[in-house]
Amino acid sequence: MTVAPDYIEPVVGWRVWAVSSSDAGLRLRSLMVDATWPTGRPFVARCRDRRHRLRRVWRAEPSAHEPPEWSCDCGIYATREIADAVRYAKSYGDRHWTVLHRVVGRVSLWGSVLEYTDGWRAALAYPLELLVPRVGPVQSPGAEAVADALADYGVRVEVVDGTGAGRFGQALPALPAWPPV
Amino acid sequence: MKIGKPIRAYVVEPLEQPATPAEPEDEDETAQEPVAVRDTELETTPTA
Repeated sequence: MTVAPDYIEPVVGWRVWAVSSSDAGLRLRSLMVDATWPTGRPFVARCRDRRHRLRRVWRAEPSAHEPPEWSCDCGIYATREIADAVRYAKSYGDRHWTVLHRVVGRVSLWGSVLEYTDGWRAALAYPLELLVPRVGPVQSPGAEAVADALADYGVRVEVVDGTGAGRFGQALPALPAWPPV
Repeated sequence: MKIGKPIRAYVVEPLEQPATPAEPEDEDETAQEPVAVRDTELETTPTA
């Protein structure tokens, strides 16, 4: 069944990515899950919630659901305020993967979207603009090298001084109001 | 990532695909090379 869209412009929110090495070069990577963001095509959400999988076994529930779903935590996350995204990045350790750098940016969200008071969860996403802090982890190849590599996404990439929300906010104009009028 | 309390759900279908092609258009020319090889093979196929 085809569902008529409620909006024809993508939602735009803030996000933080890790930058890791891949066969194709440096790529954006989700902080929470082991997922590399492709260039030139949307990043597609996939539900990895183990609790749901176990529940399916015991209760014979449907084998899968399309992310995002209210009853699950799946989907691609973005925040309304840059400060929330930056706070999240700073609270999050380098964890499991080789994080060469971290970048902040705007992301377009579309498909099925769940709206929250402070952000969204969505089925599809693609970076809109990327800000690379000049200072990164010791293992970083350097902000300029990271920015050059991330140009593969075909979006605006800028190196910025500092890592505070204010710095990032100054580098990009204010987000448009959502929903669009 | 904490994003607050649920508000509502909606479906967004952008008129233009937000994902920007990353590869230069010149790449397409390389991708067409196998087609020429296939043509050659057809020409050398015996007709009898």
